[in-house]
Amino acid sequence: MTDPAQHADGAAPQPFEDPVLSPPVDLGAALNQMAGLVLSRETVDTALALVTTLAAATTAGTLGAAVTVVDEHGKRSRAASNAAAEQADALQYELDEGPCLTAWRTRQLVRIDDTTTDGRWPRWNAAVSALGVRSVLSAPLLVGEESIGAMKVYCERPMNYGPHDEHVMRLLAGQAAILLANTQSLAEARRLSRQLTEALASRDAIARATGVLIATSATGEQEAFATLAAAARRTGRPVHDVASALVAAAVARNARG
Amino acid sequence: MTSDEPRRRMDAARVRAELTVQDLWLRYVALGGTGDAFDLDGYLQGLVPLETFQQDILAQALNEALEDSYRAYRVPLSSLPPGDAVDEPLRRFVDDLLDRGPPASPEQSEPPAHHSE
Repeated sequence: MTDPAQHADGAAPQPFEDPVLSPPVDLGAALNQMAGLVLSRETVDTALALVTTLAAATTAGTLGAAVTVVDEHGKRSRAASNAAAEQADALQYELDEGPCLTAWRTRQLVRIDDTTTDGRWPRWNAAVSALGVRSVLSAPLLVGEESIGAMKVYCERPMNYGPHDEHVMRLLAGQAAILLANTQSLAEARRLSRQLTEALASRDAIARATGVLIATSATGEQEAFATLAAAARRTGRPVHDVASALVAAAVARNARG
Repeated sequence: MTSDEPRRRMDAARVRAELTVQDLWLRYVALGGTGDAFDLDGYLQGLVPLETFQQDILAQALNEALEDSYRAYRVPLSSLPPGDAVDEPLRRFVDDLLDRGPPASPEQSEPPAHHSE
């Protein structure tokens, strides 16, 4: 993990380029906050909400921000900072056109200066200008070779975003993509670990029940399993329940002597 | 072609239960299966054989998954309180299993489980 900024606490960062506008918040602190989040155990949703809040706070005049996530479950928005951003996003998925889908597909940053004059996404532009969205900036979320979505800010004024905002969005999108990929794989690893633990507990119960059956009547593991499976079918219960009941009953009998 | 039938039925069941090979493998391991996910994948695609015992475990895993997906759609009746009514047959069944006693073996083996209290 690279350390994105080395500023002392409280000191304003010196921009390395002469910005058109000075950033409204300390970007170095914002990036630090996100880098720290990777190391802590936050949920994906918390991480996404932080990303959109930062995007809205670091681009002047922004009305709403959101993250579009594209994966095997489809396209959806998460952590939209307000209803307008959510609606504008929903229209993109509905019409299957719009700046964020283009940013995601082409891996290029997309800027719309005025939705009433921009001709690239006519249906979407017409729909969102009715919602009061006039300018848009959308940056792709790239992890290595893979494009996992886009992050966007909407503004109700035309011509709102310039080169400085593009620069800020690129920086944020780079961090957000790493963050998203990390939290997604962390959530996935946790899920798998929980499932494996459950699977092993069930497997233990079945192995103990197999032992009980071999000690009483079964001629081998295969027959013991067949007995458990037959009991499961007759009682309408999963094999794991039958195995647990069998072991519990055997223990109870021994306790009685 | 007929020997291929169980395999095709199993893969069809997997699709019907909306399970990925990974999910199916977890269920199979939970039931005591000893193959890895590649063994299952290869078997379901008809590329490698799987021993009969492992096939039985896989079949049980699939049946339970189908049962679970079916159960998710069941509608409860107001007159039947969800209780342990179903536990009674299971208890009797388990008692029957234990009452069968040890197989006709020459020596009496140790009781299957030790308890310490």
